[in-house]
Amino acid sequence: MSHPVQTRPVITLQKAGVCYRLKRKIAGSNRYWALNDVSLEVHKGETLGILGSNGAGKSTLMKLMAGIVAPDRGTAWRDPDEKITLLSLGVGFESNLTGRENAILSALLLGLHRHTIDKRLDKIRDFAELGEFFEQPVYMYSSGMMARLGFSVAMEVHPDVLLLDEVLSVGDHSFQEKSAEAIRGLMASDRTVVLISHDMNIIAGLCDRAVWIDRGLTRATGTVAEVSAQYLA
Amino acid sequence: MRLNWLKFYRYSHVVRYQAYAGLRNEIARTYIGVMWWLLEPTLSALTLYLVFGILLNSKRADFLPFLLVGTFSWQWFAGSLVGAANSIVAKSSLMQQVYLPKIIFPMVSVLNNTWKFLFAFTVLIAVVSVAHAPPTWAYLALPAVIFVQFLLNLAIGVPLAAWIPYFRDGSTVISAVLMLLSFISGIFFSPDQVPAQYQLAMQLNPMTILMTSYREIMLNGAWPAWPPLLAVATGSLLALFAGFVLLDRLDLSLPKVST
Repeated sequence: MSHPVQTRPVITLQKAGVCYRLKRKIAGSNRYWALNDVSLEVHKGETLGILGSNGAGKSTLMKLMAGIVAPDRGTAWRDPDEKITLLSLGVGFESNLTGRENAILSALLLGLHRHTIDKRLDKIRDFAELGEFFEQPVYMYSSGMMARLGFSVAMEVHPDVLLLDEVLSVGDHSFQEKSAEAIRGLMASDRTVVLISHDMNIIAGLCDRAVWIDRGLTRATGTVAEVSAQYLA
Repeated sequence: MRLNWLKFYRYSHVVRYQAYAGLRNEIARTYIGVMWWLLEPTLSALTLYLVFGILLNSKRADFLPFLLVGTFSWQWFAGSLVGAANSIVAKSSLMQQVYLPKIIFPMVSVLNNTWKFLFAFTVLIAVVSVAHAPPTWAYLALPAVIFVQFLLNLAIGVPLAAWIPYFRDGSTVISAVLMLLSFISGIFFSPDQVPAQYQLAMQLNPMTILMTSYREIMLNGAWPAWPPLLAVATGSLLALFAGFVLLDRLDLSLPKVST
């Protein structure tokens, strides 16, 4: 990646762990540490890849970085001046509301101000390519149309730090290309992006640095080449 | 406190739009939509009228408007409590996706129920002033009484919202308690109709105080008794503050519980 990477941290996790209380015990305990001991730094302007297989604690790590949950041990510091948003598609959608109303609702929930939303609604409508359906209740939508609307809203949120949980492309073939293009555009800009994936190729193609998470522990941190060498070893 | 005023401004939009979305969704789900907001409490008033007014032959001349005022305010109370109690659990998937101050959820529930109540109550006021007694100056006290009940609904709804995620069975407990309260709060009788030794206990019930106040204004054209209303308002504000602090402390733990 050609853009300059500063080393000012925007998120710093130090030996962070997150534990869930369970109704049924696992291994004799009703506490389950979804994240055990994770240390990492996200730097301003970089694209950081987080690599891990299913159950490695990736989603919990995202919630921790997004400020949705607090660490039960260790520390999680998030720069209070940066808007850090976990990108989710279709947040808060209500089936009886129109595409327009759901776009407003979803954008409000993702942290946009109402007047900003009003300015960006036309862009959202055009990007989603829903035509007349934008004014129809979303229960009439196909799942592809729903995903297109969700993605278009998400693309207009413009957070300072974008947390991406494998949402790279949605919808039919042509929209998949368009959405993948939009995501690549975001990463190439000087926006800070954290991308979670279990696919080494995706991380290698898009990220500056990588962190490998396994069973709630940080296994490796470094350049993509360094981490992939250890991951594949 | 995680909230500052700037955030409060942004979240006030979230609350308003969520409340609007919830109501829109509810209207769209039924055939006659908003008419249910009026019909639901009216039907329960008519049921009580059938039982106590006709079958048990109540002697009150104003029994029907008496019941209507009682059921309309009770419906608002009970609907707010049940809605608020389940509000956080109902939005658990949303809580996993974005950070929101958890106070938003019970507030949206209480607000939704408040709109429904205000709509139905406006119609009731019109009906009572035409068919029973014309409005007097005492009607000026009505907004204050409504505001006190709004505080009471929030004050009980917010702590319940924090409790139910940890104890789901609590919703069943809440409906049982509401059932009991609906019988003893004086929807279909007034405190002076019960034996003297129970009257004091009844007059300590905030919903009895509120229903008595509404009736004093709308049926008798008299000003409500202020000291008990003031006591309910003060108690509610204290409880609301405690509930607010409680939800703030649980703010980042609730998403781990409500999955």
